[in-house]
Amino acid sequence: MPPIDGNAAAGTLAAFFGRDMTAAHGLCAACDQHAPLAEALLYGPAAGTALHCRTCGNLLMTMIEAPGGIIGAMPGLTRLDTRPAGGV
Amino acid sequence: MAVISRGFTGRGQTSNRLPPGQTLTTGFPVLTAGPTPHVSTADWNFTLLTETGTEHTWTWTELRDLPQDSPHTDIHCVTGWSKFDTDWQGVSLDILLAEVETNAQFAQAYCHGGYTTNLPLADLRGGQAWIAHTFDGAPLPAEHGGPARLLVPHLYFWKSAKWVQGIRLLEHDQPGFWERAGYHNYGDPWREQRYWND
Ligand SMILES: [Zn+2]
Repeated sequence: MPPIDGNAAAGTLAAFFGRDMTAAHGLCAACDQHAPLAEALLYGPAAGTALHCRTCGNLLMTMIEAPGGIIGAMPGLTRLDTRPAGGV
Repeated sequence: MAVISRGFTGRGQTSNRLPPGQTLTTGFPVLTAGPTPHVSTADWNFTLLTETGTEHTWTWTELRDLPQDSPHTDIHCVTGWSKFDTDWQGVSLDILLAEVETNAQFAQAYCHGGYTTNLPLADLRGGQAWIAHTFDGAPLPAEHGGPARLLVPHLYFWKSAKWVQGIRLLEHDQPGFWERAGYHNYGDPWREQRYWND
């Protein structure tokens, strides 16, 4: 199945962070690509949401929707910036 | 911790086979968290890597020349579906593990595409786990993990790693992809071990 983009994770991201996160810029820990989460690649359906770097494929972030909340991890993001344009 | 409830619930035979919180499906949903790798059987091999660094590798032909099993089993996905009476063919991990010397207690399967999953080595022994290459009498399709996947049906199905490339035998447990992300480290459907602190 071809990937879709990070906009498809907008709802889960918003539920986790309590705000829209699609425009937030992340820095990929593997290749230093600096891009909004909306541009990440998303495969699925899966047991959770897994966002991958569009440039190098590195796993940026996972979210597992569980009863009562969301379990998140950001193993491949060294920075995540919610300022307009990610502080650029 | 979920309460263990395995057995009679008074709702007929399906209940005895359906773990808590699961719904029966007749389909076979495709779940994947990453791109689907396409590996040809000519390039395929499977490696057992022991804790001392010894490797034992089987090519596709060598795997197919080993004694084959035909497990008939129910499978349970952590997302809530269960599927009864699935038919597989593959090689028992007992046969593969008999070829290596190990004192390891843990195992981590690694896969084409980078996926990993961990489990106690004991769960790969005793006729509980296979390298499966055939589903319903046909070669396992790539979207279901073909050419071959790990099949460990007594645990939630994320442990049955698709596109399996090898298994590391380890002295210390090493959580895999979903186990690190927040799913349960062991994943027993009958104890409803879905999330890391269940
Ligand atoms: Zn990257």
